Amino acid sequence: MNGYLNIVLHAHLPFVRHPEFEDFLEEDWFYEACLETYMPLLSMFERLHNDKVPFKLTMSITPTLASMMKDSYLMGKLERRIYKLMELIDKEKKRKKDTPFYESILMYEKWIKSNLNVLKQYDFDLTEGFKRFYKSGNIELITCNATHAFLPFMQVLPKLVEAQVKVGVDSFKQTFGFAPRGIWLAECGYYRGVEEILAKNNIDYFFGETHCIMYADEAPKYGVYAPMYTPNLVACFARDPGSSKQVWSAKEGYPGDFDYREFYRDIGFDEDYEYIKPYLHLDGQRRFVGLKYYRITSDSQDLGNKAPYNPSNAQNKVKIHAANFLFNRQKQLEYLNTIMDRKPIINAMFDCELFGHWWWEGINFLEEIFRQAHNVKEFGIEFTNANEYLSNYPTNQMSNLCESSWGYKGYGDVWCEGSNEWIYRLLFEAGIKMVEKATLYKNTKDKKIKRLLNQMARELLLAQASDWAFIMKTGTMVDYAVKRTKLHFKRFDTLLNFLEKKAVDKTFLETIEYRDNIFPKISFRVFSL
Amino acid sequence: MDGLNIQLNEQEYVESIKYYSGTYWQQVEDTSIKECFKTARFIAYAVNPTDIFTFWECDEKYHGRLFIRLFDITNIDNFFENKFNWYRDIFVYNYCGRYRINNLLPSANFVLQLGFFSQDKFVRLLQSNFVRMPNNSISTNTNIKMATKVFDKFKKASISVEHIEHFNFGYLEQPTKTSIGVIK
Repeated sequence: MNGYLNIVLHAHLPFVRHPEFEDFLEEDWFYEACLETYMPLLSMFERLHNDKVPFKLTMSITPTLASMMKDSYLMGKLERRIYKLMELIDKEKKRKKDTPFYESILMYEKWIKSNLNVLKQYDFDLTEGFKRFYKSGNIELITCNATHAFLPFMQVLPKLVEAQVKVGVDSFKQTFGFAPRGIWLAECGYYRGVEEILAKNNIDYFFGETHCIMYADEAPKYGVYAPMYTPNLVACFARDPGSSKQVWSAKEGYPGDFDYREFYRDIGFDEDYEYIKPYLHLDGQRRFVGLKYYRITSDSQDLGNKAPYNPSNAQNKVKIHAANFLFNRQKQLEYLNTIMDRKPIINAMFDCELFGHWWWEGINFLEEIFRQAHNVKEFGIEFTNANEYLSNYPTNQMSNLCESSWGYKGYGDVWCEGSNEWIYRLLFEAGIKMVEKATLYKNTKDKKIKRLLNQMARELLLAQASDWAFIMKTGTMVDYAVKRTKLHFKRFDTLLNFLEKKAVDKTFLETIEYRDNIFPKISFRVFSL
Repeated sequence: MDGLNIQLNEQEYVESIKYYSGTYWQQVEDTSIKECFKTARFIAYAVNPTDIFTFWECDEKYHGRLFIRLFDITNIDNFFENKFNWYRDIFVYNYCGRYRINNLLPSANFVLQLGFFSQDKFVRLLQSNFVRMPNNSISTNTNIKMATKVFDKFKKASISVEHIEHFNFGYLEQPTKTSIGVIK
């Protein structure tokens, strides 16, 4: 055995749930991720389990995503979407019977039926599926801070960081029934001192960007191929840049292969408008519906010149790429073995939605990795997770780590630049007020005050999500991100006014409790001093 | 970051794919918010190894004549206004605003003061929190500390530090793309 491979998938979406609207576009983020990533992932686990292929990986499922995965309103809408897609696939099957697209349609038919089975198998609660494979020892589940706030920018008020971490841990326990040993700090955002808060919450390890370890105060003896302890002995496992790039990069990595499915060519834009209209949103705007019949074909940007997708050819490429990935890891581990006095660990860390949603064949790629590693012993790769590695190697280097993130340029630039820096004063003031009021009322027995403060806590946590700043920066969905940020501030402020004036508009409170129903068991006291 | 950086801009692009669709969200709730709070405030933090982001608010009567004085206090244990490495003044005008200070040194420590000039003398109104800039290179300190953390078989029991030992290793090589970032 040459060493260990720890595949880490970070599954996250911001809390987007709008029951106040019959139809809401941004909820698509969740439905698409379920249909193309989370449910196919569970089906893949099932296949490996049935075929007795040993597999092991780590998944961080964020509290916001977990709460959506078990939300009956969203899951009901997901089911309706599945039936709608089934109807469309049925029509497509008849229309495209003798065309080069028919094999793709059969692929989509299998995919949608499999998704429906997953939905029913886990009784409309996908967290149950992941829990099942945790119990079987195949996946290590870890949590994330509550709403994916970028913690380095909150370090001036440690109580806010504490609340993010504690609510993240508590919410995980309520969902999965056990305490997490590891955490994914949102955006891999690490700052010195956060480990004190992690330790208080019984977190033993977290995942960091490469330079979190590489640029520590003392030179890293093992590079990123062993964990490094913080001064209070919370372990950091850092990302291996080589294995990440091969999978992340559309230009140099696997997902850009010409035989793989083209993401941007979708029948939502290609088909006759009247035909496709019933499958669009109520606004009637052309959008992706999820059925795509073309392959990448070339590196040309011209979507009109794409060739038909061939699922069999793509699957063959998946096998080749999985073998290449494992071969490269084998060579990497063999080299590391010549310079290390212990078995190295490679942490291959990815955004979970990369697989399936962005890279359609990505789930099959993961499956092939596990199958080939099992069948070809020469690779000498053993899959592991952070828990197991720490048990095998409890002695590690200890140092002050480097503040870092996995965002562009490796620090905080993505979440603090011209488009989004305006939010930080507001977050700070709301945070101060929350801590002040939570401390003032921490012994209150007044149910109305507790209810108000609990909802204030939810609104603040939702406003803190790093996603809004990220979206503002990328410039794609700025309007929604700005509105969401302001909306949560405004709701927080309104509730604060109620509290200060001791006069509650019950209808308002009930309405936003219904809309922002995340963390039903939250106690505002997580913010008290 | 050379030698360590994967093309993070590509990763960012892939992540943004999750949020592709357009919006037609109708505004139903008032989202007007205030940006100043009539509260004295001066906060700063490092955005990257060379940049500090800061926001502040002070009494409106100082509007138009405010400066930020940035003190480098690297390796200075107790900061006093007469004990620092160097300082720089930045005219910021607004009584309630934000600013990004660039071109600072990685791993350095800073503190900021907000004030105005009266008869060529800087009058401090507010002082910020202390800011430590992140590192941006591999340390030349090769004095390695090793620590052991012991878990019981249920992985739940309390943990303890067994020992901490110090040793040196001699040859340090800056990792490159081909040497996969391990110190020989």
